[in-house]
Amino acid sequence: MIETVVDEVAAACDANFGNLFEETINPGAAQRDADGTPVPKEWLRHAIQHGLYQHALPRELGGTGVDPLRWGLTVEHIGYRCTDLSFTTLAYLTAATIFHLWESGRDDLIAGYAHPAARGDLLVGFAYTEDHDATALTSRYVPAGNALRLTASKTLITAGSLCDAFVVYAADPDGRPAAILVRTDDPGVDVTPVDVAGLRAAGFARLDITDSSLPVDRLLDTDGLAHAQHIIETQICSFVAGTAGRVRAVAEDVSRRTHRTIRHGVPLADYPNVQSLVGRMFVAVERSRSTLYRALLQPDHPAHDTRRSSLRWAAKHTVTEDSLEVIRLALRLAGTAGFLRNTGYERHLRDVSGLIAGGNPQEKVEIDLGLAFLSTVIPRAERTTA
Amino acid sequence: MKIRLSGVLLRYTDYRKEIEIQASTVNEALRELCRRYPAMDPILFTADGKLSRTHRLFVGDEPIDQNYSQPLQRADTLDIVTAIAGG
Repeated sequence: MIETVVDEVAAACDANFGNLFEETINPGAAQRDADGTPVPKEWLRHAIQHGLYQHALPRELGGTGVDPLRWGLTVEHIGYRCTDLSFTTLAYLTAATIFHLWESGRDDLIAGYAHPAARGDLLVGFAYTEDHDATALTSRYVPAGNALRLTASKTLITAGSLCDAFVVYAADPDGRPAAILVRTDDPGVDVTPVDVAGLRAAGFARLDITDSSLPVDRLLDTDGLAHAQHIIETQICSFVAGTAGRVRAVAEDVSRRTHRTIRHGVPLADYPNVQSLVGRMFVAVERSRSTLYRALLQPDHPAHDTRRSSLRWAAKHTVTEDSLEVIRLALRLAGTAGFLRNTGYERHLRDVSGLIAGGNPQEKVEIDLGLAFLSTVIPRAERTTA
Repeated sequence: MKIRLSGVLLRYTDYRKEIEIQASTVNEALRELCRRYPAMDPILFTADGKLSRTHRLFVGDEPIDQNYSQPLQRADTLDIVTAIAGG
């Protein structure tokens, strides 16, 4: 039963690093958001040293074996307990890049990057986003003997100001995208913090690289488009799992408020209209969880296994829309209290807004899912589009 | 035979969804497509001449897995399916 696994994972998280939330992370969450101060990396290292990655990484990297379900549930529970979604974001993102470095099979990458990152000593980011189509990158590299000369601009990188290295996507002189590993101490590398509306403690930054000469072994994959898509595809459930947990906590918090808040001598929770709103929140929370869990239960699939891939993207879409709805309902239920910063609801609304465009914009997800579903119900020979 | 495209690939064919091609194999069809629309070449193929893993090919309803020398009949349709997320 899925609920058994949910409870088991939650109990393990609480036992291993639960005190980190109440004692360390949660108290300063609102101030870090106000200031745009990134989450200290030491907190992530502490959680890693207490088993954060056990279900995210293989045994060779200190985990107990990659278990997408238990890892997704871990991220969800962190989102539930931790009031700073920026920390939750760092947790899933760092695990994703570590895993893909390990997946390369290259001893130099595994020893030099995957192992240190798995210990929390190094942070590797995903530098993909430009203000251009993914198939028309303006970031470019030129092979130059035993080196690559790279010039790149990536406009928004999660945890960019915290990273020690990045996987950067750039095109060769013929326009073919490739994946290249860049360190922040490489020549010509400039990281600039970006002021964002939500997840303000996640260290968002832009990356500018000017004619940096890199060893040729920094070239990770000459099929950069596929490399990036693989990373995006395999971590999309983790991308939203933390948010699913956070809005469940919000729903519980505001529901408790309705019980404590007395109006006209009666707890708000006794009013049918309040009960209706709480009911709608409950439906949104559980719909998100159901969609997410079904996607997490899918085994790894080859690229373009339409059915399984579609479930993951359906989860991204559902959790995003439902999370926004839960917070909107919470604001209605909380009244004036919801407008106060110390409640945290408006901060979470800003945080969750990052999912609208993040990963894959919601409208694009709808188009992709529509095309995918059509491909399963309409025989290919009858279709005019693929 | 014809090649059918959708999504992000359409920008490289002036948004034509179906391209009539004379080709006897899958590989020949892809090369002819790139000859007519050179800007598509770096999106379809990597520097070592392999089809990017981000694309899937189908003839009828049958996926083509690496067998690009598969023969094509005159009435065949080759679908190129690409799903690109993020950006």
